[in-house]
Amino acid sequence: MTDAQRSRKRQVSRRSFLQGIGIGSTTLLLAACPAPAPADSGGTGGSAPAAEDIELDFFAWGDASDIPAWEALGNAYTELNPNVTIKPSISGTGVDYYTKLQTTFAGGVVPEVASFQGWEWQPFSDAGLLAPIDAYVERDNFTGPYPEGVDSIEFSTRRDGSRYLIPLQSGVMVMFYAKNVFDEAGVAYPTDDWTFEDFVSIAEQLTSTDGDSKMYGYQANGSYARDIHWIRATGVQEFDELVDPRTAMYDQPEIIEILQFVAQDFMYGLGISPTPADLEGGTNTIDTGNAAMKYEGPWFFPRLNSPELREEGKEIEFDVVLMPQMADESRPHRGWAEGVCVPKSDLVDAAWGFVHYMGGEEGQKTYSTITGRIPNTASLVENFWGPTIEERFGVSNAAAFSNAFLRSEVDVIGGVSRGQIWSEVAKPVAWDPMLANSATAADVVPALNEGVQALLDAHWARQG
Amino acid sequence: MAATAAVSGKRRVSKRQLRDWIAGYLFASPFIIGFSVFIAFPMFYSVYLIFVEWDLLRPPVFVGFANLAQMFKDPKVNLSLYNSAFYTIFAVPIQLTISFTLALALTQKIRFRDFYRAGFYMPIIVPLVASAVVWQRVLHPEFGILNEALGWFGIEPRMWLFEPRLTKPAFIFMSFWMIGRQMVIFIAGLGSIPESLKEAASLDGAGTFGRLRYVILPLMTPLIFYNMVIAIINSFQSFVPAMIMTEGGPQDATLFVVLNIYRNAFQYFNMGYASALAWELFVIVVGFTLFQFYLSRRWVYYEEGE
Repeated sequence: MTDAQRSRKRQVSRRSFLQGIGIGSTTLLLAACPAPAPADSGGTGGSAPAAEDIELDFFAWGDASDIPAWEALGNAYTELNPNVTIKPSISGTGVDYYTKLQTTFAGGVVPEVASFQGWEWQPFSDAGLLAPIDAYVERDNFTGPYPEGVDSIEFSTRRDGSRYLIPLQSGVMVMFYAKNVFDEAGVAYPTDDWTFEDFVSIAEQLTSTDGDSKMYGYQANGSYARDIHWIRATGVQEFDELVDPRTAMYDQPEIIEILQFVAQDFMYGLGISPTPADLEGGTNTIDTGNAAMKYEGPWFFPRLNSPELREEGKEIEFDVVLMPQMADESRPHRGWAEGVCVPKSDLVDAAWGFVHYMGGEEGQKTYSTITGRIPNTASLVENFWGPTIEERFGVSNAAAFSNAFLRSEVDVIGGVSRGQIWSEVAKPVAWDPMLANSATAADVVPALNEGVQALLDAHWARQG
Repeated sequence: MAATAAVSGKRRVSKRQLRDWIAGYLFASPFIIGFSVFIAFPMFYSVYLIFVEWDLLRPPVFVGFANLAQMFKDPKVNLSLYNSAFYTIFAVPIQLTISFTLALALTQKIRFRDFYRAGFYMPIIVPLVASAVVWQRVLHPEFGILNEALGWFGIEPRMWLFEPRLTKPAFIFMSFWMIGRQMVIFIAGLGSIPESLKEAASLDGAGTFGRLRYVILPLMTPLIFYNMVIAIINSFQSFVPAMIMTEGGPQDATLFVVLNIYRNAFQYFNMGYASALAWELFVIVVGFTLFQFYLSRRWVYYEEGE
């Protein structure tokens, strides 16, 4: 054999090289597939080491005001419990959040803690995916967030006799008003005893759309969810039951009349609210200084006034007041709890430790300070939250939120989600034509009622 | 041994041939594995999902043909098909006309030709979501550029995204921004037409339009056909603008097929029904495409025999 032949024999041929690349790529591809998690060895008896390192996956609501709060809470808990690491997965808001969460469950990657709004966790508990927390609540005497007699909390946290949701905030909405608009117009600020007629009169006085810069007395929200308040304040409700309804009842005269007002006349008849076209792109709103009043919740504080906005000179001084008195003398407001649930997993005990911390006094102070949201106990609201929001956001009437919450009721909880009612029926059939001024409430409500009833019927037919 | 193999009718595979086959499959294995796991398996699994009810939270429950029966009764299905068909029927011919005209112009010897070609192609590389947000501003009823431009000609501002009868035309108009890909393909095709054919036509007395009609267009029919098929498929799958800009409104005027599928799957968590809708779309698009291939025999000219 010549030197050249020996050399060629030692060299890797092109074919062998390419084969090696192919085998290597395939091996890498297969190695990228996750290995099955080892079976839990807890059942073999004996207790786990006291300081076992635990990692809790927290599937967290991604609102801009919440993100820094989740990080702060996770870090604070880890400082107290060094063996526990909290991994927040910030996962969007609204429909996006629940799409990702359900897909996560379907994929078998179950987080140990997950954010939920009070009307969205029920399908998960019905499917047996959430751990009931009654035993933990009783063991740790964690009863503060569950005051007796407040239906909105009860319906938002309990189902079929078991408790699932740990409230991190009490949700309620009231009327926000921009003080400077009232001052410039020489109109007195609204008070908690104002009526619907007072509200309309004030809005008309404050509206001025003739010049280049428009001012609207009220920024209507233009959606079913936000208009639920107006419906309930008439003294009727749009379902036979607010939990697991069977009958749609939109076609009551009181509802038709109030929808005509809030979803059309405010914009086109009275002209006190910007139309959806006026609002497109974020223009003509209360936070751009073009509206005097808006129905909102505590998460809206930082949009109007905050230490950061004051530094930049861009704050809008505001305060809040109960929604105006209407036909229902009990003056219901929308209310709910939002917080976290503990999905069933091998780490329910550890997860409870973290959610207990978040829902406890220290965690609540951290969360409420950063987000401005209402804490989950009356004592914290009165002694901590009220002074805090006055200092940070300039809100002096914190009592309006407490008052509203005590008389609050949930939107609708059940198999047909509020979101499905809105996107499948309420928006295309009713709110779109009303907001476009192409049909009146009397024209669209029959079809709205029929459509929602069809959804309810289909849901109950599937339940058998 | 060879005789035995011949009698049995089977050809024995040699070791070398077997080695070649193994090597070939190994080289192709990354693609085969990826295709199987991420495309083929989900497709076949979605066929199974047509016959079940599944909300992602509980195990699927077999329901037989219930999803298919519902699909034929659901008025939203017909509405979404109408919206997608309307969009396709008007958008595709106009897109092809504009892109072909642009290609003709940009194959002439003009100054800054490469700059214009790049400019018309640039929107293709902009993410769809970003485009949708920008177009929301362009179509703003009060501050939008489009209404501003129409105002120069004395045309009243229009509520483009708020009136049901105007929203689909607005989306069709938006789609003209993305004709760069078709234009580039036409430019490549125009560049491959032999000059000798155009010269011969000129010598025979054909003017500009005569050369266009009798030489250029016939030779471009394969690319026109290709762009048409791709444009129709893409139009039927329009989703992002409706999702971002109008949420299917106003009054379901932009509830396109894919948006309806998305809602049923990820908002109403009815995966079985959404799978049925997805396969309905697939059958319609494939059927339409096959029909186009059948019709193409009448008008598409391929130079190297039929």
